[in-house]
Amino acid sequence: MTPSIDTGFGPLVPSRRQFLRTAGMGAGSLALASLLHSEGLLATDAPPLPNDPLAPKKPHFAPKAKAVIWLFMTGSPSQVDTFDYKPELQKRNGQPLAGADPKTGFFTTSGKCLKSPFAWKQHGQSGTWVSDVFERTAEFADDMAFVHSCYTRANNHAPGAYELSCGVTRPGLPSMGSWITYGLGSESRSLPAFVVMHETKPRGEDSIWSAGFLPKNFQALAIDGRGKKPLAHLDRPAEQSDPQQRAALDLLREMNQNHRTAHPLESELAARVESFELAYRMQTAAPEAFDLARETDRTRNRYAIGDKDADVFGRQCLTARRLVERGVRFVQIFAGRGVGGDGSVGDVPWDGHNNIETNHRSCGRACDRPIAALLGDLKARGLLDSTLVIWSGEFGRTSDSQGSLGRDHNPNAFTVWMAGGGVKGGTHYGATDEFGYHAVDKRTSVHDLHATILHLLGLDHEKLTYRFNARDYRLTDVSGTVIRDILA
Amino acid sequence: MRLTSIALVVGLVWLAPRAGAADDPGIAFFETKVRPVLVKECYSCHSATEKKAKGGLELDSAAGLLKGGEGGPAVVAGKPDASPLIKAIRHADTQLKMPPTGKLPDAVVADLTKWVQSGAAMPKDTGVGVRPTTKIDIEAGRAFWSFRPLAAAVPPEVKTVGWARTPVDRFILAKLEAKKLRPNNPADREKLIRRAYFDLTGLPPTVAEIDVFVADNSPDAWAKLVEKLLASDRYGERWARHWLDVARFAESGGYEFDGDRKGAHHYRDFVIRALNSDMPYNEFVRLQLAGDKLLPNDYNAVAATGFLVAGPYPGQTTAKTLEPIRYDQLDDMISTTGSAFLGVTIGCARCHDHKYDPIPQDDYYRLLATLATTNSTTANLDPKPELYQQQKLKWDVIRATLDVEWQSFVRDRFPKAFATWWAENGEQVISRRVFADPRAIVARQLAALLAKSDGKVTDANRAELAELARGMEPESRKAFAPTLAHLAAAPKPKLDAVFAVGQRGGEVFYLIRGETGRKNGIPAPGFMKVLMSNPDKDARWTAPLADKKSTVDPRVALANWMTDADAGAGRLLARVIVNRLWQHHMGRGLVATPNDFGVQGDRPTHPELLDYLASELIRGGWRLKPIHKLIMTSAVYQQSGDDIAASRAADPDNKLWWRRPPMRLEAESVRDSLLAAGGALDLTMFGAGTLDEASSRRSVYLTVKRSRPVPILQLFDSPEAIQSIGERQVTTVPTQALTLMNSPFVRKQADLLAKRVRPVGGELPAAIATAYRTAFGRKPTSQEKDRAAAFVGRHAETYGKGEPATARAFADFCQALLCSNEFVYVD
Repeated sequence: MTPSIDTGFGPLVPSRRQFLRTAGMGAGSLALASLLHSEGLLATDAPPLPNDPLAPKKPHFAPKAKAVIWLFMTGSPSQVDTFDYKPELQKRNGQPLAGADPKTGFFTTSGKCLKSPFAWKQHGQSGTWVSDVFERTAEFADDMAFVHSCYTRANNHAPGAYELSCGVTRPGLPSMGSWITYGLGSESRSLPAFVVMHETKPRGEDSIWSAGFLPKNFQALAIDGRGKKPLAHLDRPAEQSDPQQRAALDLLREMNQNHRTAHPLESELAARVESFELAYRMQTAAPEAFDLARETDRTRNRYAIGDKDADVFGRQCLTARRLVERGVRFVQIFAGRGVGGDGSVGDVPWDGHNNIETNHRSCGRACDRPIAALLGDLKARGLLDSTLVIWSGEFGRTSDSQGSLGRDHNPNAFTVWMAGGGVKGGTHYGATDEFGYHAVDKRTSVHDLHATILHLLGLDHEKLTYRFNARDYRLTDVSGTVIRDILA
Repeated sequence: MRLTSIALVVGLVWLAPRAGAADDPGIAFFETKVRPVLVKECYSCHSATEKKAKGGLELDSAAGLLKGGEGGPAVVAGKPDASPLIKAIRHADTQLKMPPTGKLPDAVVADLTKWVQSGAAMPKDTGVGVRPTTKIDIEAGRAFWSFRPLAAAVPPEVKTVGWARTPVDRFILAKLEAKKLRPNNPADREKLIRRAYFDLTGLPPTVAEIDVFVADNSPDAWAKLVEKLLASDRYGERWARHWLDVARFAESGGYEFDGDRKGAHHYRDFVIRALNSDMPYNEFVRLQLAGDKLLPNDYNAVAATGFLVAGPYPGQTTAKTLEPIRYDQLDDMISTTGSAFLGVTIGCARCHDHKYDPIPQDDYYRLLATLATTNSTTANLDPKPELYQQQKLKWDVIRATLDVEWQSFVRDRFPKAFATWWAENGEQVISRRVFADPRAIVARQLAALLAKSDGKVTDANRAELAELARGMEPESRKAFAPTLAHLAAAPKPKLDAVFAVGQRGGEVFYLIRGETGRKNGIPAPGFMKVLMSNPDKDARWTAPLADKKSTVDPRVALANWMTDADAGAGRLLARVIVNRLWQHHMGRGLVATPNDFGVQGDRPTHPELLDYLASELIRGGWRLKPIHKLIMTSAVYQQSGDDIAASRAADPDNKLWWRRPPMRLEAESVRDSLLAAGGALDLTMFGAGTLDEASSRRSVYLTVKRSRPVPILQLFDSPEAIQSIGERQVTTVPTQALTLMNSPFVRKQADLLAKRVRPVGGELPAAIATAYRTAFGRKPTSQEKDRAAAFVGRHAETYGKGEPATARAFADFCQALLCSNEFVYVD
């Protein structure tokens, strides 16, 4: 146990209604909650656990977003081929790139400009330039706030994924999903608050969504999108019927109650008694949440489920929406393999070292329709206002070529966009130089991004701390500034 | 302050001559004549450590000197007259006179001029070892409780008669009495034996073992039990796991690809062996820091250094990240060393002075310098050299006998046999083509030898002849055959790959704000000043050896300082480890933050007791088992966890230890107990592990792969092996319940338990009682027995009829026992 740690979890658990009121949630969320409640999906009738570290907690101030869906484009898409249009780069194809550092990334680059091979168009009222890699997603340009001036310290995948997810380039520190679960608790009693979905595990693996030194209550449930079961050991033993398992659990409950009576000072025993009831309910609730057969064909088609290129990512996006509806707080989806035949690698699909055109074309086919469907679906259901959707890679890519057609890693410039959840749609924040090679205007660190995301969830990144080995740790370490310009 | 820092800086220049400096006269000249002047006269204004170096000029690195300031390069090699630095110190130019406070002595100006004239040799981009200045008052820091010498703690007098059993109890009782509180009475025997077994071995007692102990009325029954368990091999397995948490032990690199580290499990085995053999703790520490230097060919000692290199390391590096990664690696080593051994957060002084503790940044980099050549490697060593030695000895004896036999053959029978054979075959063999028959070469050598003695075999040449002929002459061949076979069967040492510390080149630099791009010279290996009470400071541990020629290896010096209880860190080392023992026995340390004995950590609840235990440890030759026994034979350990209203009201957090609270089993014990309940536990010790959680071996032998934590262990809070972990969290999550309810592994153990305690057709009441005793270490009450029997009866009906239905229902009952709180909590 950790007696010195003030986790701030008081013994009193606010009721859901109280929470929603204090958290400033609108009537829409309440209506949804009651709808789901009537379906028995939120199971809020269950008595609150004593000292439950997952009990919903008050944020520091009124939040704009209730949930986050982070679409992580593993491998790192190129900013100059997706959302950061650079006419100058298009003009100077093959010419030397001034100030190019061939050792910027993992390999060595040519120092010569490589123009984007994709077709660019302006979209929406905001006139946002988007390449045709994301032509469907681009329909929602007016809902997105673009941060064009991002940079990282890491220039390779695993450290980059750690930095984006956990704030440092080394593994072992808690990821944002765990921090947020620690800070806000869980809305759902039968589903975890933090869910990760991946295909091949992204390079850097589980450390990317680690709970680090935070208690395991706050860890992610990581699901391989290719598997059938969202959770291990969710099915009761084959030889046992539901009433039989229930009877055994009743016996267990009785034994545990007797033990509890004999140990009046050990409050954690009660939580353990309850955990079996919760587990029993999860056996029903979890498969329901992950069961996409409950969606209409139309919805599933929109998400490109069944499409040979986009099926897995489409399933993951639709699952994310179902989870958010059921009170899951933080969903992180790591894009899996591209379509194939393009030299892309399963654990870093967007890593277009050899040929940016074939690689991004293929990865775009896997992601574009599902992302557009997710944004449209959330919007139609009135969920986008309270759901923050984030799109990022680990870093950007070089404006000069690697070989003749590829691009290397570029930690000095990349674009992240966010939509919904309290951001100002159609805004463009910060800028890269005329080649998209370096972030030059309003340079934005990962800590700044994190501070902003926490802010949208009602958390002050300087106050969300956890004492470990003598230090009050923060997701944002010792820096980070909220990007006010993109807030609605 | 400025004066102090300059004095420090100058001191260092003499302490830390550059590696290779002595070989290059130009650099040697710089080191002795130039650098000290720059440091003393110029740095207060022209140093990279200054917020704004005057005139943009930084004289503390080669790059700085060559780059110069606003007026161009400071020195032009070979041209003193063209070098602004020289112009300035000559005071010839009225616009530029340096230092502004007054001209340097002529001899000094001459030295600097000579240096520029002869090429301005400087160590390559190393700058000058500038010890970062500090505002930390080390003397004041020494007054903090954990950095003080051990107090000569005398167990206090107590009023209560009969409760205290050991001196330990008097420290506890005195504080309770002062608050007019009372502690608990001893727990009952069934609870005590279960507590002792889990505590020392991580496994439950068997029904037979419980019976023996409960029936033993001798006054020393408890002490005997404790001794028996301390002597058990299971003790090392249980307590090694505590240490492996602290050592952030894993068998793969983490990061991308999470490469397996061949032979990394030998470190785990070292820890188990060391604990089981009660290796003195100071030795245990020394081997982990420098076993490869202290006993280079010793498997155990080299395996011990797995401690330093157990941290994560990237699987991919890029040109730009190689150096930061190296500093991260060193940071991991020194931070873990600080947390594990000393409970100090040295890592906090990487970029600036420690914000709370008296650890200047200078200490951090001097400690880092002790590891400058430390890297990981895979060594090939013989884990059982004695086995090889024995075999070799036996083999040598036989070899000697065979040799005698051969000699006598050569003397007695060879001359005739050879002469006969040679006469018949010699010419023919010689005439063969060498390609067709390599024997032709030997035959020609024989002929040449024989030619010297007129073709005769003599006393003088027969040994040599026999040596050559034994490959072809039939009788010699026959006589030599046993020797040949014996040679082929010569024993070889069985080398095993051991992941351990290896050597590498390179240096460590002072880094301004921890940034690798801002080097500031090379620190001399050194230690935490606040933990050095001896006036000769670092030299006490780093001084040249008696032969005056060789110096102590910096890592050996680190180990020397660490374990020096008189003048080094040894006292804190002792405090930290006895606190860890108390923590695992009692549920919380006397210092509740076992990895932080600094200002941010908790203060000890019983500082005198902590010092008493630390002193006892040192007095007893640093052996841990006597300290375990001292704690466990105390009344404070043996008391029950019962409620006492008055004590609870006054001390709700049990800081005065009026009860010994129940504890949840740690992950490994949960899994091991499940296996033990099923009777399936495989007690094979040591060697490579497996990732298969369904394996029957103890959990300490499961492979620790950073990207693939064993699910059941992770569920029950086994830590991530990234940083030193002093205390585990205890969480309750529904996925634990799901696993216990539904996983095939748990289901199987329940089935095994059911079959073990109730053979086919067995009586239910007896089976229920044995199941209770196996799972909980106690007999069921008659009410519990009745309810269980009623459940099984009722439940069996849902499964059908007869024995199969009863067996199924009884297995469900057994699984409920394994799921219950009583199974995973120990009173």
